[in-house]
Amino acid sequence: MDTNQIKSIIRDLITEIAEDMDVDVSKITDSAHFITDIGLDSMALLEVLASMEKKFSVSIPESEFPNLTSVDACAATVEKYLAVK
Amino acid sequence: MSDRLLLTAMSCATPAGFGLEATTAGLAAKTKPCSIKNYEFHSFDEEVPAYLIPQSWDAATVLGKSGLRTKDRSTKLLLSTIETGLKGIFSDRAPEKKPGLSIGTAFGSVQSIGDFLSDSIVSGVNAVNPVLFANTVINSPVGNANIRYEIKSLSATSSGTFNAGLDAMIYAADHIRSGHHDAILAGGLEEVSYYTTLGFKRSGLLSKAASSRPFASDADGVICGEGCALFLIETAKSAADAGRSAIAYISGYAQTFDPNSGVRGFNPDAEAATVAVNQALAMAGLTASDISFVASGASGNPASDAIEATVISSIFGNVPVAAYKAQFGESYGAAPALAVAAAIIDAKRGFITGTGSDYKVSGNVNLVKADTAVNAKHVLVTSFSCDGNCAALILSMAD
Amino acid sequence: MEKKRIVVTGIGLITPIGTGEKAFWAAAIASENGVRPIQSIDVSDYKTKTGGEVLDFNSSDWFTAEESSSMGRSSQFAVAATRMALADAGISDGTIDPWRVAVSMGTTMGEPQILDESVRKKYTGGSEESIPADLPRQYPCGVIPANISRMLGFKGPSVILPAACAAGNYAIGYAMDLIRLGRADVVIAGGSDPFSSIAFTGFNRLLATTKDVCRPFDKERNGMAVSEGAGILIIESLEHALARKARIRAELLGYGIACDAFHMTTPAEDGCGGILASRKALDHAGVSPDSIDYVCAHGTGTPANDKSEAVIAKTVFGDRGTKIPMSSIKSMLGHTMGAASAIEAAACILMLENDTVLPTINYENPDPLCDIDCVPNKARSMKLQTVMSNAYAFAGNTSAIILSKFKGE
Repeated sequence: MDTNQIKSIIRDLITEIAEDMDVDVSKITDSAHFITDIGLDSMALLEVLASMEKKFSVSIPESEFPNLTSVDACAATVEKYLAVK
Repeated sequence: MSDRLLLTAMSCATPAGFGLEATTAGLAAKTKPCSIKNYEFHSFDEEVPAYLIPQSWDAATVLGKSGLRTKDRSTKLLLSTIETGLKGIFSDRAPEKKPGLSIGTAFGSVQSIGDFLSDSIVSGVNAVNPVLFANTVINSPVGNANIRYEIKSLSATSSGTFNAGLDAMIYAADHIRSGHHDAILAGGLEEVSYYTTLGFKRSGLLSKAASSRPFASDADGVICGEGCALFLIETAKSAADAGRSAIAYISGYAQTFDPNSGVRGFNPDAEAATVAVNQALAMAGLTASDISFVASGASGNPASDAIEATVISSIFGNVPVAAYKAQFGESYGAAPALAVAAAIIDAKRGFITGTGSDYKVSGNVNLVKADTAVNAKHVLVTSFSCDGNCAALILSMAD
Repeated sequence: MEKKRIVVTGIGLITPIGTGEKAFWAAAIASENGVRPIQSIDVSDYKTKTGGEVLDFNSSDWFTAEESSSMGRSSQFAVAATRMALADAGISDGTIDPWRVAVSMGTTMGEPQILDESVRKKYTGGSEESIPADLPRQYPCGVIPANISRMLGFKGPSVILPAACAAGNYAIGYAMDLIRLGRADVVIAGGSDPFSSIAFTGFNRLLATTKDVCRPFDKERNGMAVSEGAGILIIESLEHALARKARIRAELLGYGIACDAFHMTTPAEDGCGGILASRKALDHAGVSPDSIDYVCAHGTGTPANDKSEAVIAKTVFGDRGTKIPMSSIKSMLGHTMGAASAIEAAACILMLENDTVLPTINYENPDPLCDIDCVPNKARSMKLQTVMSNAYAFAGNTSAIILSKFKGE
């Protein structure tokens, strides 16, 4: 799976959560900060982490959680642990 | 009881219909169970009868799409019932002054609890969605309603098995009479879930004949049902301030417990149930002859129906007895609240809903089979649960 | 309506640091840690390996084999703790009218182990036949008060308020109302929760569990510890207690319950629900914030909870908010869920009786966001008259109760 595919899957995840939270989905860009730019909350980020682990069959350590702040950052983290696997 | 509380607004979602009007129409038309095989994410070995909320109910249509993605059936049912006919009661007060919430449910969302568990077993404990954990606490549906309608005054769940709906209404009345608050939306809520239905099937309590025939001499069990019925209970002052008038009054209520019921089955002497009814009458300042009809909890489970028959015939003789579970099925904690809703509907339209089919009755009970005219002043609602809990509530209709 | 005075005459405790009030108190004043490697479930797949378990509870000490098989662990805890509390209160068979005894309980998970076992069998190669026939009779949480009433022969109202982790306070508060409304003379009130794999999995997935010990209010706090236990109080009217010459252990002055109406799992940062609950309790008790000598905190040890509690204390108590002793016994017990606030109420009574406040253990690093006096690490002797105990929960449920030394008639 290449970076663009990974980002596309993560974007879909974020869009699904954002729509449910009544957040403006047009704010979702690859570099936008999930909380300060898009308006998600920390519970939503936990769900993003959980969904990524499931979708990509990868185990991401809890210590990475604070770094998962944008589509770009998430994709980089997923790639890092896919490589480890 | 001089300071009796008012019941000033109501809404319900039942197998007879989604909403008060649809339920009223459905009661007149008689409701039939459906059959389920594939349910939620599961499949039963064979088809199982159930009373579900009609498919005309769509939570997203009632509530709007956002915020529902991770909510379970119980929560959607509660929110939909509030949204349809009751959301106005939360619009004109500050969050800490709004009517509080007191809802009874026997199982909470056991679908959410069981699915969280089975997902952690099948997919692994590190694969379950953390957001869904919030749905596993029994107070989750009520908490979600507090959040949606920004209600800070009270968030209470009661869970006294099959009496939960009455327990929650009684809790609300006690909370108000104790001076903690002046208005509470109270009632019962239960979903049909894979796990409870399977549990009932395994316990042998499900009707093999797939028919819900309360008090029938050949009744062979219950059919699982679901629903939500909610009532605004408040003081006269709170109602007057809001410009609401009484539909009915909460005149009396009581709860007792029979230590000889429960794991050993029902205790046939029905002493605790009898005491509960007599205490409720005493609180209301009424005698047995004042009761226009009884909204019984009879379900088609011969053991519990026998208790109802013993109590009703010994205290009331030939009083007309409604058995709404013929229309709704057995909806556990929601059931007594659905009975309150149906009793009010019937009292207002002047007809007691009959069971809709004729059959031989066991016990000395004047069961209403065909819709029967009534001029109802006082109605007794009973709920005697298999765990030994007995509850009774008396409603007095407003003129 | 003249308000009847309400007193507590008996205590029953089952906790990870000891079963019975003597064992509990000895461990608590010695700052013992009950959060240990988990034994009752396989934790190899979990990132967290620790929690609080009750290791000294043997079902056979309390029940026949037939009784044990008819009840889940939550009910067993609740019934055993009730027996302890009744013995403490000097109530034995036939000494009080069973129709005038009510049961008011709280829980978070109910009887999860029964569902867990069944579902586990079904989804590890089982079938519909794996579901036991008595599941509907043993699983719903209403069986907890029902089992107390049934096993002890009581015939008054038997109710449960599953307000998650604030449930014990809800149940204790309702006990006051039941007595004052004349619906009961004596109420068995408290909370019970067994160790639950559902709760353990859930809090793990929320990244809310500590990896080692629970350190409330510490800057390095990293989560709560899932735990189990039960707490039971015997609550009655002063009148009734005096008439039967009972030993009065404390007076229950008031309670308050409210809601954040903010988020299912996250406390409101402004502490709105907690502030409202405390103020309702003070109002119900008829006492001023200045008369509160000690606060038994909810204190789970999660970053969000502890921070919001400091906000609540400073709002409710003003300048005293940073000075009033306010400790978390969850630092020792872990989070016993629906039992927590019932155990904390019992702990408050022991603190009042001993003029000693229990500590927050594992405390090393002050956090400017939790600028309170959390009674670090060691129990402290001090004169106590009136105390408040707070409990908060999922769904934004908030609660507070107020207890005091019994001052005489």
